[in-house]
Amino acid sequence: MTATLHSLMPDASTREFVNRYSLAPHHLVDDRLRASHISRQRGDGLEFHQYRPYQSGDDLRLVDWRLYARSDRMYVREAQQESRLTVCLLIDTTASMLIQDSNGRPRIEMAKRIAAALGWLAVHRQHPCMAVAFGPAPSAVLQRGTGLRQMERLCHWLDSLAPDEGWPTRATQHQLMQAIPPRSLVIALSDFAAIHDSQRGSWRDLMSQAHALISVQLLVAAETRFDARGSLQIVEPESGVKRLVDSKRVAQQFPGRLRRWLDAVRREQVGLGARYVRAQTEQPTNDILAAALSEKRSADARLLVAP
Amino acid sequence: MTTGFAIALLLAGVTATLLIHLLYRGARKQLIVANPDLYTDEAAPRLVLQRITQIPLLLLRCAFVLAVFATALSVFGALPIRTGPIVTHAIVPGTPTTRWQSLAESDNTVVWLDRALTRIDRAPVSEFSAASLRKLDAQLPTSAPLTVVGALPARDWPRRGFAMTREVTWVPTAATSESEAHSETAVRPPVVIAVDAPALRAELEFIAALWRAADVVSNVQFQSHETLSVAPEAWLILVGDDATAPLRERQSVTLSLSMASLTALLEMDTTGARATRLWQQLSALPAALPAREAVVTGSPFVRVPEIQQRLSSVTDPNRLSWWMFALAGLFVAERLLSAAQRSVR
Repeated sequence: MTATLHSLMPDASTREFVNRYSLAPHHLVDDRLRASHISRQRGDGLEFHQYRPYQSGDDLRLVDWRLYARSDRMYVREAQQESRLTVCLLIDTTASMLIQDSNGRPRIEMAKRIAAALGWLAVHRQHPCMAVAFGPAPSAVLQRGTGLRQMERLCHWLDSLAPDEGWPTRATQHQLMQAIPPRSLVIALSDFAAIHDSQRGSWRDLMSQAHALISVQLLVAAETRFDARGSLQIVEPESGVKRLVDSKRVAQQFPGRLRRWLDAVRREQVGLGARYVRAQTEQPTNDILAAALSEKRSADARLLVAP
Repeated sequence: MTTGFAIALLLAGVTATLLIHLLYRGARKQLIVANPDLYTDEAAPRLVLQRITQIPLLLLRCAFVLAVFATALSVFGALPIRTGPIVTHAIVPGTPTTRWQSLAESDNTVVWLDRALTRIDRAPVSEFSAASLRKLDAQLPTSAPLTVVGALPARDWPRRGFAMTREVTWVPTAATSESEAHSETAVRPPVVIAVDAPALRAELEFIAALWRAADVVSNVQFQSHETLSVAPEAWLILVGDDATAPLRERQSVTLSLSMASLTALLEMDTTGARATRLWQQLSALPAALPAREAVVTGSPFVRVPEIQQRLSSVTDPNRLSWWMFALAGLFVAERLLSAAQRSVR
């Protein structure tokens, strides 16, 4: 670790907190994905798994000669080969991530802090770690790497992220698709909103690349209620489109619309086999991390925020 | 009245501003949202159009009502609308001439006249003092010269009540000696009025003061028949009967007015006939007289009927037409906006 820590580098308490967790993809993938991308492989790793009868062609070095002496049969030691899934942090960098929470901090700041903490956990657990930004900036990819140097690179890369108006071009989308390796744990940090219909497919395809998926939907408190009065100008940050609405009419329909939208996001993410976590950026970072890294397998969403 | 009107306008402006602020406060609020679909208002375009047209329509209707009210006040003479000629004369309370005093209607009224001696406005002054003069001064254009006709409470009066930069000419009447009259435009021949009847002299003194004020003649002297001494170039107006014929012969330019005709003239109930006769008499003066036309056109004798006419119809027709035009414009605009609003319902 360098003498001067990057501001995004998790502090000691956060590191200690996330170190309790492991990135266990077998809790996360659904049956379909697990069938094709089983994460545990038996092999010649260090951790003993089981004995099996010797077969022709097996390496003689794997034969347990003591057991042979006792039983007069040849058994081969089979060890569990630990998964080395790549942890891919997929961060939404569209303009809506600039929306500020009640503390005046843009949503992207919380996404960066969570990404840094998860990156630390990946490094700590010796997983290769990489990061991809889903935004208009081309080739926003941090290449896969390991160790503390990768952690430093991740912090600098996160620091450089600047959400902007617009959407990734097709070329950028293709690059992002190519960047995510097949055996990877994708952790998506986004508001899952304003993904335009034409972009929704690519966002979904991007997450479908994952061996396993954790989707963290970051909301700000102001998005979960509507208490404005009078005429209001609604501004869509991605497109810059403005329109006037009557608050009274919007207020009547807002709770139902919010509930339907959150349900739709949850269904979509669960359908992709994701652990879906909904959180408010005003919450403590550790609470959000705990929800995302929970060992409990749940097909349903873990609701940190009641709509 | 003018101050009250200004305060009312100010209050109306402040109220309108507050109203607009309150009504548009919501529209100025912006909400940046990640998912605008949650905030869709299907009726928004229609509502917004209605809201946009609602405020101007309301303001237009308020302006229309105000304009109707102002026009009504203007017609009844209660609203001073200062779009007319500049005030150049003020007949102040204390003017001894009873007939002109009637113009002021009471001792507590200041009457403002323009250069043609047409009454522009009047205002009550509870006490003619330096304070009231300052009030008068505040209502005049900054650099407009002012001629004040009437009895003055003190000799240093002009400097007490008026701005130092204003050129003030005061025309004293019988209350002050004629020698105190201030005049710097004595370019025409002096006019000598020979009159013995004290009542007529008082009337003529005031008329002479108005002559001076109107810059018709700058030097008017009053003499009695017995002590008459007239320079050869001076005009002589003999007010009397045929007994003054010897005096008339001593002067090259003389206008004789019989006591009866002058009295009739000063009655000011003329329908124009007597003024016409006076015109004819004045026209009989030699053509060589300087500024004869000015004498004729600027003579308060000619203007007196006009002043009376103005008194019977206070509202300036031009001003009224302006108000009517504004009213018509407001009405048309209101109708158009109403139609636009109805079309989106």
